This record gives sequence, structure tokens and C-alpha cells, in this order.
Amino acid sequence: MFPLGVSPDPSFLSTAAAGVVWVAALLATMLSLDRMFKSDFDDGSLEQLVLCQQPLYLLVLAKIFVHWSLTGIPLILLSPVLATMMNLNSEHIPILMITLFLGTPVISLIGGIGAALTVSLRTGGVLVSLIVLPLTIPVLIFGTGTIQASVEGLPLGGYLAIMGVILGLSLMLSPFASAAALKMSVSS
Amino acid sequence: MNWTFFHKLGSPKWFYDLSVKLQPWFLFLGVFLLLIGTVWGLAFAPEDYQQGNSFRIIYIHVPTAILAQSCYMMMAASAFVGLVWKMKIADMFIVAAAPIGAAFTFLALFTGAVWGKPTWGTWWVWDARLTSMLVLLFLYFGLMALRGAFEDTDMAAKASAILVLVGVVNIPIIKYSVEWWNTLHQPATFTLTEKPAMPPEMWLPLLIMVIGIYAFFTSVLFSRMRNEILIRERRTKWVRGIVLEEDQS
Amino acid sequence: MSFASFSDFISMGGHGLYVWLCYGVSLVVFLLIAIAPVGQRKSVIRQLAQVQRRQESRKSDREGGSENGNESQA
Repeated sequence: MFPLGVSPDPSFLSTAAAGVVWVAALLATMLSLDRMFKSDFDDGSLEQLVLCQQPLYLLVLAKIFVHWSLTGIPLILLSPVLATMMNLNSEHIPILMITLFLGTPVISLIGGIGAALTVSLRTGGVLVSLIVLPLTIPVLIFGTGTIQASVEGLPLGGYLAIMGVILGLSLMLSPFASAAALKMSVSS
Repeated sequence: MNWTFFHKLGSPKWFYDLSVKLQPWFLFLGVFLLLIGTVWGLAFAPEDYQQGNSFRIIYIHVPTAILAQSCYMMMAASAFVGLVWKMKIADMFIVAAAPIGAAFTFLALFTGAVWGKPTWGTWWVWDARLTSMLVLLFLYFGLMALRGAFEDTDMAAKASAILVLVGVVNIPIIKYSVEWWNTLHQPATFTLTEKPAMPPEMWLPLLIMVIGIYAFFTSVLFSRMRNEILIRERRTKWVRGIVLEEDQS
Repeated sequence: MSFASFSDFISMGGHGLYVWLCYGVSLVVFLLIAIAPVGQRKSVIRQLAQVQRRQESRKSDREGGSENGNESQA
């Protein structure tokens, strides 16, 4: 839609490519966040999950993995197509896919926190996006930054390391927050 | 560590009475210092070599920016205390402080942008500080929106605390990422908005403004917290007494 | 004084619009956040008083009614 809405000029498209694909990743994840826990909450099974003996951290991780495989993985697989449409040089496509692979789980992890906080509310939707968006800014910045570095021919080691650190931190910390939020949400 | 103070803090009534006594002092101190700082900064501080008189905006931009961030940190500390020790006062602090913090963040953004026009030529610049402030504003908005969506006070308190803590962990990461991004994209000619070496005639009014704004913040915070206490403790005898008294007048 | 005259002060070397815009908006915001809790307090007291009055009248109805063996008004 960007070429149609903004400009089909190839040089513009290629500079915007990284950002556009990443914004698309963010939006795709946001739109489906609502459903991460809602259906379980509605039929009462969420309460069971919270109360059962298994550590909630792992259950949350499992849910987030499912969400990622339904939103992140398709995007990673589709990204070469998107990249070509946005006139991104094909030699950069592997890097694009790697950054998406490192970054989309983070969006799902952070999104999980937002979804867990709002699962008991009827509003959801916009509120989840408002909460989650500011928190995903670093992933967006570094994700697109890595691709830009690749385009400019700069060394990528540092960028990928940072993406890895962000992924690691999110993996360790965000399920705790999500679990706490879920416990709160079923406590009524 | 004086634990009795900590225990007393758990009692809304104690806090209410204390704030009634202290608030006038904070208000007076705040207004007084803000006035002095403003007049000094606007009229008496020397002009800046590079920026001329628009640099005077610093006297309102920097204090509001400092408070915007400081407020969030205080809310984070409160959230932690509230989650661990389950103190009602901690949650009331978050509720009362958030709108004030958001207002100061807005002012920091607004004054920063307006300062940008004569300095950099455009109303909005994606400079590291403004961008971080914008993200902070969204964090505040998200928090206030989340709070408003809950009907149950206990759930709202927990949710707010969790969100504040998640946000505070993110703030250094966000700042780092934005600054890094900004150094890549900003032309080298852009200068920092703060002069590192300022003569005392320039930074003294700034210091006065910062202290003044903290005092003002405390005063407004006390007013808001008192209202929260009245609502939440409405079933207690002492609140019912106050309501009865004030309703007659 | 850093300014030669009052009109110099107002114009701020050409940057008057920006400086006064900032301070003006800031003043408005400061006033708003200071005054809002005062109004809020008044309405809180009013609402709580209403509820209290209703509770008192229900209590006295019940006490008055129970002397005659009436059912309590809920």
C-alpha cells in the first residue's frame, strides 16, 4: 500500500523498506493481541490455568509462542516478498529475516503483557495498543537500524548482539509481568 | 531506617492530617520560588551568545522535563512498595501523580518544540530528548487509560503497578535506543539544548525553578491524594465527620 | 536587567513569540493542575454527603419502622 499511497519511486521505497516492513510487523501483532488470552478468559479456562500446579511463567511462554507462530513466523516467511515490493536489494533479505526473527518474538512477549493486563476488560483493542506501542520502540529502532546498517555496508555484529540482548531480556522478564497480570485479572 | 514512619504511612488518616498541615508550606514555597526563578530567568539572566533570548525557555523546559521523569520514577518506587507491602497509600500516590506527570511531560514537549523553532528552524525535531519525552507521554497516557478502564480498585491498583514497573524497566532502554538512533540521523551541526558550562548567573535561576517546581508538585500531589483518600476511606468515621462538617458550610 | 527597555523585554530580540508562548502556556497548565483538585474536592464532598444523608435517612426509617414491627425498608 505504501507504493500506492505515497510514491512508487524506487529509491524512496528502498530507503523506507525496512521501516515499512517493521511497522507492518508491529501492526500485525497488535491486531491479534486481544485474542491471546480473551477466549480462555471468557470460558473460564484461564482461571483454571492460573490455579493449576504448573508454573504460570511457562504457560504464558507457551501462549506467546503460539501467538508468535501465528503472526511472527508468517511475516518472516513473507518478508522476502514484501522486501521485493519495496525495492529492497535482495542481498539484504537474509538480514531482514534475521532481524524479524529476533524482533517479532519481543513484540509478542511485550504484547502478552498488554493482553494480560486488559483481558478482564471489555474495551481491550485500542488500550492494548496504547500500552504496548511505546514499549516496542527500542525493537523497532534497532530492527530497522540493523537493516539500514546492512544497506550501508556497515558491520552488523553489534546490532545483532543488541537485538539478541533485547530478546533475551524480554524472554526472561516479560512472562513474569504477564503472569502477574493474569493472576490479577482472574482475581475478581 | 525509621520503621514507625513507614508504618504510619500505611494509615491514610495519618497522611491526610499531615498533608493538611504541610501543603500550604509547599504551595507557598513553590509559587514563591517559581516566581523568583521566572523573573530572574526572563529579565535578569544574561543573553546567550548563540541562541539569543530564546534560550530563556530553558527555565521552564528543563524543570518540567526533570519533573516529568522524576515523577515516573517516584511512581515506580511507589508501585514496587504497593505490590510488595500492599499499602493503599502507594496506589493513591500513583493515581494522584500520573496526571501531574503527564501535564509536565506535555509542557516539556511543548516548550522543547517551541524552543526548537528559532534554534533549529522547525517546530518539531526528532531529537533524542523530545522523542524520549514523547514516548514517556504515551507511557503516562497508557497508564491513565488503563486505570480508567478498571472498575474494581484493587485490580486497578495491581494493573497500574505492573504497568508502571514494566515501563520503568523500559525507560533506560528506550532512552538508549532513541539517543543511539538520533546520533545516527542528526546532522552534526545540531547543538545540545543544555549548555554544559553555564555561568552561575544562568544556572542559579534554573536551580531555583527546579526546586520550586518540586515544591509545587508536592503541593498539588497532596491536594489530589487527599481527594483520593476521601473517596476510598468514605466509610470510616473520620471521613464521614469531615464530609458532614464541610457539607454544612 | 539584561534589557534596555520594557519593549526590548517583550520582544526578546525577535524571539518574543516563542518565549512568551512557552511561559504563557506553562502558566495556564500550572494554574489548571493547581485548581482542578480544589473543584474535585468540592464535588467529592457533595457526592459523599448525598450518600451519607441517604444512608442516615434509611437508618432512621428502619429504626422508626421497627418500633411498629414493620418490615425494614431496604
